[in-house]
Amino acid sequence: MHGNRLYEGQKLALKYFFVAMVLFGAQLLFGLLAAIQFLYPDFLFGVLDFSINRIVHINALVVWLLYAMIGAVYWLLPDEAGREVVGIKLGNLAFYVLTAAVAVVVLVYLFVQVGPGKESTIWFITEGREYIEAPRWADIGIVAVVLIFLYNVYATTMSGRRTGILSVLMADLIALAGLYLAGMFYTDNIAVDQYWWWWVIHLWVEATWEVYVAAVGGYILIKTLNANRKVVEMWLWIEVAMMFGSGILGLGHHYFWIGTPEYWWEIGALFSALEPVPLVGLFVHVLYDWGKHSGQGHKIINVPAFAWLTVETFGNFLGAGVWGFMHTLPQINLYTHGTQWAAAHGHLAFFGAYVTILIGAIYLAIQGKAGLKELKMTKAGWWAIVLITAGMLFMTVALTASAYVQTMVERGMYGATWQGYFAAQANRWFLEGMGWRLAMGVVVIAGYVLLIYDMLTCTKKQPAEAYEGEVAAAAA
Amino acid sequence: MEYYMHDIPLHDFLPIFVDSAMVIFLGMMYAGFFTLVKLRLVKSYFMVAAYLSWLGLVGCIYYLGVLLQVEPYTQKVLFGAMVGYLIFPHIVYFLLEKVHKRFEHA
Repeated sequence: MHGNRLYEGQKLALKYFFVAMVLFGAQLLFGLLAAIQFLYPDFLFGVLDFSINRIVHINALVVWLLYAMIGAVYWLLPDEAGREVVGIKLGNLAFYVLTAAVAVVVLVYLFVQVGPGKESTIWFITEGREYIEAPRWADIGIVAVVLIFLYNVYATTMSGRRTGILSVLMADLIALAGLYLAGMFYTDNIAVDQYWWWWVIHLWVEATWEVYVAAVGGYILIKTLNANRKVVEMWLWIEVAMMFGSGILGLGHHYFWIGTPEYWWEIGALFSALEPVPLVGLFVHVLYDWGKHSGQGHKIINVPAFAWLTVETFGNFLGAGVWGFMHTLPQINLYTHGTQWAAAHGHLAFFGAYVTILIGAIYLAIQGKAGLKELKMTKAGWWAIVLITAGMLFMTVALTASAYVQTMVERGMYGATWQGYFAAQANRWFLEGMGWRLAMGVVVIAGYVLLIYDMLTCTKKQPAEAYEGEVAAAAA
Repeated sequence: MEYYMHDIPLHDFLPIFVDSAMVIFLGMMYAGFFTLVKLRLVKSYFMVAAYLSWLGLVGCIYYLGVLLQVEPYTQKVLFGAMVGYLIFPHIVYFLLEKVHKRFEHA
């Protein structure tokens, strides 16, 4: 912001945030339908199959997170660089092109649910790779849009103030965008294909996205706590060093059972075990900043953003750290791979590491858009954070209960056979876990409704003194 | 190097999951208590809790190694990792303090 006006880049960020929240709703809705189908397989069979619900659920997650990430960068970019985003018109054009492409891709998923697996399917319907199922024409479009985004970030930073946060983001975004290319070509050998596919997924979520989140988290800490920029930036570089070590070689835990050489067992085990270390560092950092500032009269300038950042610290630790380590070592992963353990870990890790911090970034933009000096938490905001966090936590516990049954029955007792698969799926305790997962899904959706309500109305419920900045700025 | 993986008995599944979770929890408790004491947010005798957490962590790692029947090479790696983790919060705190001092007194 300059004065009380938003930069054009920040207005573009608000558009990205809006679409991100719509897609977040779609993700939850299709997740709920898939959860119902786990319990009642005939539900919507032939109308909206489980495979399609799952595709939309997972891809909506990835796409809304990317939208929110791009939005967060467009929000902080002019503020950090001290100038308007270079190529803002191109940025706006890219936003509309991307949004139209996402809409078309989803409609194709919904209307073409079954068909032959031909070359044209890869180009126009789906590539069939989990998390990045978009057809190739959309892939190429995404690359073009991301190139525009990269150009805007680089051109703006190079011609403005180059802060540590922006420097880290510049390096990270190159890796983030470049890795997407690894998921755009096909090989006939499925083991080789999986090898490259993991480059996109794993190196996104456990390397480049983690660094990205650390950069945005650092910006939020500076904005909400007045944290010392030098400390934040020093920590960012440490994070980069650690994350690229544990993140890149930690990739090995996805190579255990896809036909790659056995030395990946040792590499994957060691570096997967090291993956929680950067999380511990982040935890110490937040604790350190909080400790340094408590009792010094520092106010929290944006309570909702800081609250979501706090949830991020614990959610990331529990989801990525605890639930990850419980089943990552190869000796036990032999039995847990591909069971509901992955779902339990994935749900809490994605929520803890990314959803929370991006919601925090959106609250920062809400405060900026309204020109408020401070943003307090409203009742709806508290209920949203409680319902979504508790819902996700208990959903993870429910999935873990089902996962335990699945591991014992399907893998341990029946030795990963089809008979074992169906015996585990019909097990009473497995189904009980799935039932609780569905119930917690409803709780999360209730929290989402409150979150949207709060995002739309919280600025109108702030105390009068919060508007002092706006009035003063307007008068000036 | 030859790699070999032993079958895990069914009755060891639950202890492995619980023990793995404890590894991460105790690791966090060590770092957490250490930082809180260093920042003087809790009494200094809580440092004992930090080092007890680290000892618990070492015990859990050892037990996990037994349950997973790890190779001698992995045993050595785990031992090295525990020593490294003992030092890790000291290094992080040292770096944060130095940076703070440098920029607060600049």
